[in-house]
Amino acid sequence: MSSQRHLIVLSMIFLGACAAPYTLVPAGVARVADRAIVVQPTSTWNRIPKTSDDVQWEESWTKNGPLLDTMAFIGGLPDGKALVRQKKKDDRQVPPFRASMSPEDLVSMIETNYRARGVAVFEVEVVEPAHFLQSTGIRLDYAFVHADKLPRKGRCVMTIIGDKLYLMMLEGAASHYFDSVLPEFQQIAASAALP
Amino acid sequence: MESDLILRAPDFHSYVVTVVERLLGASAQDLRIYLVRDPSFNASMAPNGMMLVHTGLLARVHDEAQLASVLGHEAGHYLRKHSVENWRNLRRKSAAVAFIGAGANAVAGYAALQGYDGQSWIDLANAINNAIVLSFFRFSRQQESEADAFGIGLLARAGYNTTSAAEVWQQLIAERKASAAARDKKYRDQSVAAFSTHPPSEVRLRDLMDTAINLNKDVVVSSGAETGSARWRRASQPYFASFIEEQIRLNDPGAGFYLIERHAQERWSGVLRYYQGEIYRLRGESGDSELAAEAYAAAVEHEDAPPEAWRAHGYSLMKLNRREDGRSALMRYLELQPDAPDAAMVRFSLSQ
Repeated sequence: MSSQRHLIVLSMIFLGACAAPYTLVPAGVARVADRAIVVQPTSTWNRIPKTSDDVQWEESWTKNGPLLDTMAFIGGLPDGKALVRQKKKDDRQVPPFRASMSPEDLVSMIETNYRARGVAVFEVEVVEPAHFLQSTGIRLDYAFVHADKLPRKGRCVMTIIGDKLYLMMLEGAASHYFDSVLPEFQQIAASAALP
Repeated sequence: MESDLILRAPDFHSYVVTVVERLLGASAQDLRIYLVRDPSFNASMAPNGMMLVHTGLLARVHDEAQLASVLGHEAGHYLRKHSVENWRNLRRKSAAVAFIGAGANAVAGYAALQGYDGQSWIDLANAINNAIVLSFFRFSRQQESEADAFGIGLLARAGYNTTSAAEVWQQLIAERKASAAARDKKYRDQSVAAFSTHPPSEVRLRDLMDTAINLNKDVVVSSGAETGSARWRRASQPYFASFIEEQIRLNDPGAGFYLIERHAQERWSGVLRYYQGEIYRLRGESGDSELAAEAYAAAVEHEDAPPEAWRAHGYSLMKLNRREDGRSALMRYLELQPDAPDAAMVRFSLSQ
């Protein structure tokens, strides 16, 4: 989910650490993110192993490797929990999700998720109403640059159902990868349903 | 192609160049200055004359003399050829480390052949090598202190207020303490360690203050000694909100409040009130919604309030069940910013 993962994944590769392996997600029906969302990908994806930063409601997939594209799901994040695991004493913190959040609050929660983890440039490009999980939610398009200086784009669709946050997010290199994966992201988001 | 991390601000960049020229005179032409979008308090100098100035530094200085004090320090590294010295020092010391290690192993091997325990030779070599490695860090700390003193000399010659360098450190230490306190933890100076490349911040602050006081005794400070605060305000004003935004969006509330209140010592503005509200909104503790709402309400009273202050004001009023007042504020936001990236979302909120 986070850009920090890119660094973590990279260092895991370099260190040859005994991390959990990537697993294939075949085309068909898949229950994701704590089995809280059902989606129907039309092609094969790679499930990214979880890191210690990830919360139990999160799951991430990639097509070409997480440095180039990542699709993340958050399935039913409860009120009071943050998008990532963080320590109480961390200087910079992602605000915990609240069921009472305004669209403005949700957007800045996503933005801080990037900024608190070292993204210096984050531009909100579009915020508009969107349908997600048969409910009215928000679509957020954004652009950002991490310390690796590679310009990236992101799209996030999210909605609050029963005081819980459901979210799908795609981020990828602005040159080629984001745009090439976007149509399938759109198709998977449209196929998403509660089990 | 220029990096996306470079701040596109030709007028402000030219202003920073004039400050460096005032400090260095003819030597300034050897330097290339880049303003980098990075929220950390930092500036750095490469041996080829490339100086990087972070927006996180620009967010934390309050006048031209404070900016000059940091630029003078960095220029000090360059003019005193510290990078080259460092490299030579590192090369010499790493050669010595390798030589001592290899020598000890040879002696230990010979001793072992003769039936003696060679380990003590290796232990001795390790001890010497550790001392050499530590001396590298001490060397780097000495260079920092030297650049500090050199920087203050430049400030004095250019007629800037020489206590500015100490002020910058004082502010930074106070900010780090406020940040730690807000997260219920002890302030720890990250530069107090044998492996630190920089002197401890408190020591540095004391040295800077002493140097400034001594210089003020020696140099007749008459018409010079200025802070250049009006020039700084004029030049930084168009970018000030973006520098502050970069800090507040990190959601480090202690540091954020310190920064806002320190800037507000000059005067409260719409920008400062808006970002004060943003700190409360991001922190989201009990009672923060009300405090954020108060700050936004104060922000929109100022002429310089950014359009986003009206949006925040609107949503905060709606949360407090003042729906009609909230709707008017959101409509004001759309009037001011009809093409805002979130205009469609705000219109949707109004239709609910």
